[in-house]
Amino acid sequence: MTNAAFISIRNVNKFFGSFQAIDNVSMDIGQGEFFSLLGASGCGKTTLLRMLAGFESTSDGEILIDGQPSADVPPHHRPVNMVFQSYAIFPHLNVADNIAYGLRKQRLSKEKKKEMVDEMLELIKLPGYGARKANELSGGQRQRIALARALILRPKVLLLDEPLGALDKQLREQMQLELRALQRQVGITFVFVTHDQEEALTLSDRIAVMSGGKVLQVDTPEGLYEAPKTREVASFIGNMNFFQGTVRRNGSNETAIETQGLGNIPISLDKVTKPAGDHLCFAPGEIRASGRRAKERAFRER
Amino acid sequence: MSSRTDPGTYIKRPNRALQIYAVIFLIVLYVPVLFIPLFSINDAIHVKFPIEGVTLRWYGELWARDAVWTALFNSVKVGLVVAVISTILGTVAARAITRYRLPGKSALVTFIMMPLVIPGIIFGVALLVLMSRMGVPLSLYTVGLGHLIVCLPFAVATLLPRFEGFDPSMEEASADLGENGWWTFWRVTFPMVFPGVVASLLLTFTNSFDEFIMAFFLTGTDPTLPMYIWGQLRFPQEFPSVLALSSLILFISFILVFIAQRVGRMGLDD
Repeated sequence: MTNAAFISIRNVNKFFGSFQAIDNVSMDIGQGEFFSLLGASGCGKTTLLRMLAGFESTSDGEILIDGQPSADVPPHHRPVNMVFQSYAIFPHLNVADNIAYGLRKQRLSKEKKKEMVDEMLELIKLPGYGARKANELSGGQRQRIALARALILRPKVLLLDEPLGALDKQLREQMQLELRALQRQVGITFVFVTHDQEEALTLSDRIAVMSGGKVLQVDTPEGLYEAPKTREVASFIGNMNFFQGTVRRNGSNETAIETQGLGNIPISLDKVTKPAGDHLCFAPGEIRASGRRAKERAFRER
Repeated sequence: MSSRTDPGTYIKRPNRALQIYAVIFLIVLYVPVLFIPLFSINDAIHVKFPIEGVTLRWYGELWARDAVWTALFNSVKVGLVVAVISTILGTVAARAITRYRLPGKSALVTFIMMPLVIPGIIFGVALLVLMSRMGVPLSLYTVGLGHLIVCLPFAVATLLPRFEGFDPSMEEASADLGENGWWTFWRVTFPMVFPGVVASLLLTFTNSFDEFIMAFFLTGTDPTLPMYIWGQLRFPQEFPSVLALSSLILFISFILVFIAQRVGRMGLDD
């Protein structure tokens, strides 16, 4: 799935005045990976994305993109393109001119430009929309055009800042699928910012869960779902159930958690990420009540 | 839901008292002004009722007067230069005010807007003193300088809402797509604020064209049109021509401001 690190974030800090927006973040993002930054608003995910785009500087630490240090590279020289949360479709240009905006420096012929734009319109499933004005577009169409405008430059990395946040639920789910398919098709690295854990779990190869400027855990969706390292991560991923309890070991492989509400719950040792913790969390569907004991308990409680 | 509690109806309900107030307001504001074009077509030297007949001869007389044309060209020259310079400065100021975190931003805006409320006579006297101290002879240049001070607040006031209603991520998107600051300005910022720029040009031109007080203190030997009118007021027999000239200025100013209002809001309402 992933080659060597394509984007390398090393000990990055960011201060706005005395407020620390990013707190010692380090992680690697592989080539061709669909990587999500997940967290509640204000957790620093957008700041981190804007650092990758070059709109914010790092206060400390460094970011390597394709092996190159990026500190002194301004946004217009970075091999990354971004899809903005507001889409930022230029209102004074039509769809084709919006998509072709970044091609000026390549000094292409009109025909070549048109060919590339048409190809992009095909890719985002809006063929024939080139002459439309920007104010004649729906939210979903704007979102696709913002994608096309970025992808036409064949960036090494595409940054997406909550691109689906402004869409209604049905359209959002459809766009999730299309986005994922598109990423497979073009094969470039996507860095995707979202506060919607379901969206992150559906789309991503790997997810970084962020809170308070820190990265809590970086893992695959399955990894995060099945083995969250902290309670905070667990509560952010899915509808988890929490029980307070104490881990009791009886014998070599038998472990049980003694809880208030459910009594002793046997659990296999490899599922326990932190044997010293005092919380048990499980996803819906992970626990099964065995018939005999349930009856027994029901009986006892009567 | 009853219409009483529906907020939409509450706001949109016609308000009789307010309508009457608006009509009185407009009458008080414009009826005195309407006497000017009325008497400019009166076939008599003296301004009094009843009207003695309709004529366009005062307009014809204006046409034949060289001094009017000279004054007109002076005013147009000053107006154009002032409009261009104050709009450029206003664009830069409005962009700086809306895009950067400036310390003391609100104080800065207040100072820029101050000439709107400071009496023109104060600025006029101050500039006159300054010019004579520095030994600068009074000319159309000094008039232009005075007009720049009065016009700049209009330029900023027209352009600020344009920049405020402008999503900063538009410029970021341009940078992200590979354009530097210069190209971003010409390909994104300028086209988006263009209606505001046109409105500002029209408003500042009109403002300079009509301005009297600054011109009164700072004019050398070349009069602007309002200065010419002022000069003619000494001669009673010239008064109908003055009225004719004033009517033309009123008309042109009204058209320019009307266009400026229309253009300036283009794309902001929807």
